[in-house]
Amino acid sequence: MQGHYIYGIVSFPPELSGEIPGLGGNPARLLPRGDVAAVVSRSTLTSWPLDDAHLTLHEAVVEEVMKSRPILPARFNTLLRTEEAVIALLDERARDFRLALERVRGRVEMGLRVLWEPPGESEVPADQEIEGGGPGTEYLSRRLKEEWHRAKLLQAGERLIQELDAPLRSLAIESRLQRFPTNRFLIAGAYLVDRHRVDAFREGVMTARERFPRLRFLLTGPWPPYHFVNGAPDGTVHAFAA
Amino acid sequence: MERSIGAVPRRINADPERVEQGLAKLVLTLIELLRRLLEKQALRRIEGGSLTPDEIERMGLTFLRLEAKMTELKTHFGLKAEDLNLDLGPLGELL
Repeated sequence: MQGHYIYGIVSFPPELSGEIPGLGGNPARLLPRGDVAAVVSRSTLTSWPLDDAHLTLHEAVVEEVMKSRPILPARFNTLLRTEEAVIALLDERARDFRLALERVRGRVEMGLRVLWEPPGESEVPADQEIEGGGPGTEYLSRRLKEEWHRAKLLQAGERLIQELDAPLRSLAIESRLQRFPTNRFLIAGAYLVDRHRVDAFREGVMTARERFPRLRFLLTGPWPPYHFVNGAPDGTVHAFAA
Repeated sequence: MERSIGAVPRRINADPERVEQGLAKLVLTLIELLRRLLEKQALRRIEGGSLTPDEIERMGLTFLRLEAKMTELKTHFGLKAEDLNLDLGPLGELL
């Protein structure tokens, strides 16, 4: 079966300059409709294996296109069966795409993950203890303590997040922060940054590093603006989510 | 609008062997959600001091038994604790 693999949405014109190899060796091309276009390549598969090689290729196409114009990157494995379906998508979402393209023009995404050592268990105050009782009381008493520790931990984490995010947010246009995505991670964040302020943003992260020597910072980017293709504040929705 | 081809097969699993497990996963996830809500409620009432020691003990025993039963059912259907969840898409995960 034939399908059309979508890498992203761009404004149109101009045409792509030069050939960009896409998934399965099929060249990426533009499928325009009015003033927007989809970056697509023909696909013999309805779903591509989610591995490094294929993800890298998807990313390479997006980055190559991004060199010359803003792009709304599509989620990996976004496919439509027919050209008509792609055109219909462009028709249906033209306004959203135009607005989103304006928003990301001249901007890139910086990824920031921060690891922390959650504070250890501290003394539980007396009013959180339940005296005496059997196994049922013991169980609820234990749960009560766990909840208390968890609340303290989140409070401490939230304070840290506020302190380190504030200066970074002032260097960015927008941010999407996932708080406590796992036990070890304090935040997984994406910041939409003006291209010419990328260095300033990096310096901002360096300053945060010095200020919080016990935290570990993993800064990546610049990336295509994967987390800013629409208005959803949680960063999980992409341009093609229904 | 035609949905992306990739999005559909992920959600539909018509393999009859796995339908039972899928159903058990859904039902147990909902029970787990209720259990956590009730437990939170109970903890709040204990903190508020509105329960007698007797009531606390009985409630605690109920939660203990429910937890034991859940463990038994999860084992029976070959499910792990982290399996009991629902991906709510843009809303994140249920539990």
